[in-house]
Amino acid sequence: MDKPNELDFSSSEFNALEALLSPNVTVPVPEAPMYNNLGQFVSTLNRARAKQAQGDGAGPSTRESNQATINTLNSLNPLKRKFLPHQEPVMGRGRSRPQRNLLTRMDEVTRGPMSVLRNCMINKTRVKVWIRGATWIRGFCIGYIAAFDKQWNLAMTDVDETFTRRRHRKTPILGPVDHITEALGSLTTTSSDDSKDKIPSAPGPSNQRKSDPLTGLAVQRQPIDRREELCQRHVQQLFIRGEQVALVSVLPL
Amino acid sequence: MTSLSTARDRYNAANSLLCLLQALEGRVAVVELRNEMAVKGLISQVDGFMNVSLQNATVQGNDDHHYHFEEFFVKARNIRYVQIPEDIDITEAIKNQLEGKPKAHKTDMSSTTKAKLARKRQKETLKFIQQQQQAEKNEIEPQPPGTSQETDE
Repeated sequence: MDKPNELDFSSSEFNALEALLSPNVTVPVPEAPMYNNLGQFVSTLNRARAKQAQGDGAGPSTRESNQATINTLNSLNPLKRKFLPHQEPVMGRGRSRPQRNLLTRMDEVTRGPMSVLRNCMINKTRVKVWIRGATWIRGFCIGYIAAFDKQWNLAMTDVDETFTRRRHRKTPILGPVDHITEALGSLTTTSSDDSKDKIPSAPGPSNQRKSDPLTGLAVQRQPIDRREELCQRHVQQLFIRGEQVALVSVLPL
Repeated sequence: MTSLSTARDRYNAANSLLCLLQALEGRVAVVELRNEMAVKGLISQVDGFMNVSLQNATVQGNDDHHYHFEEFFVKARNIRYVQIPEDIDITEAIKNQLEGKPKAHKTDMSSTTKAKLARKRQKETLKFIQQQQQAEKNEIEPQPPGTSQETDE
């Protein structure tokens, strides 16, 4: 019959599908190792053949190198990876890119016009920063530069600002100003507000000292002509937007 | 720090004096505008382009009346000065701001199973290598350099 031949492993009419499906099949060698796929079978076969071949001719060196390979493979076993020794990963050198931020950029500027700003910052030289209006010079700020950036935004300390502005007809000197100052007392930024008001300044009509009601800073005024007046004030720490800076000049000691 | 931070915001904040203004977030300060007006209020947010939004703001023109606003937004170009409160040290504040920011690395964020597995294995391999190197160091150290050398690879 077909069936016994089909189920017979050694016959030429062996039908593997039938063997898998039929219940009573006797495997000729029950202790044979089981492979999951053909690839495994082929690789074991090749290895066996190579071993046989080398066992006859080649010296112990290849055997040792093979052994070394197998050792490294075994040592890497927990990761279940099969890299050869020269394929093993190597520790990287780490990130060579330096981090650039405002502070590093301030230090990078050693040549060119911005180096003047940097030197003023480092040497704490007193600097005169001219501030612009739209198409005119508004005034200047004299102080020390604490920080700057490429857009010429400046952080300055100990600033004496002098600027011009249009005179206004309604400029109450006393009375209403004090009233407003009291009302906004809780919102003042500078605590030295009071001390500034108490300091008696030159009382002439041309030189009026009044406190700016919003900030509590004392603003000294001086009318220049009919339309404009010159104002002066002192701010301890000021941030100036770069757009408003016209010019920076170093003051001689 | 800001809720609305795009990559450009963060870049600007890290590379310009914006970090100083962001250090002022939550503080009361006076912002002077280029039209000679002044606004005093609590700085709630400064974004990457230096736009400033303030709360509880008092606006004053040139000795005009004072106007009070719950929220006030200043577009960056209109700022001339910002008066920094005296109790803030400028260099310290900048340093703190810059250190606080996380490094913006381009991380491998692919979340496929294959990528995750690869990353996990990479970590394990690195650990393994480190251990090996330490083991080698420990082997080499106790032996003085003049004595027999073991050729380990």
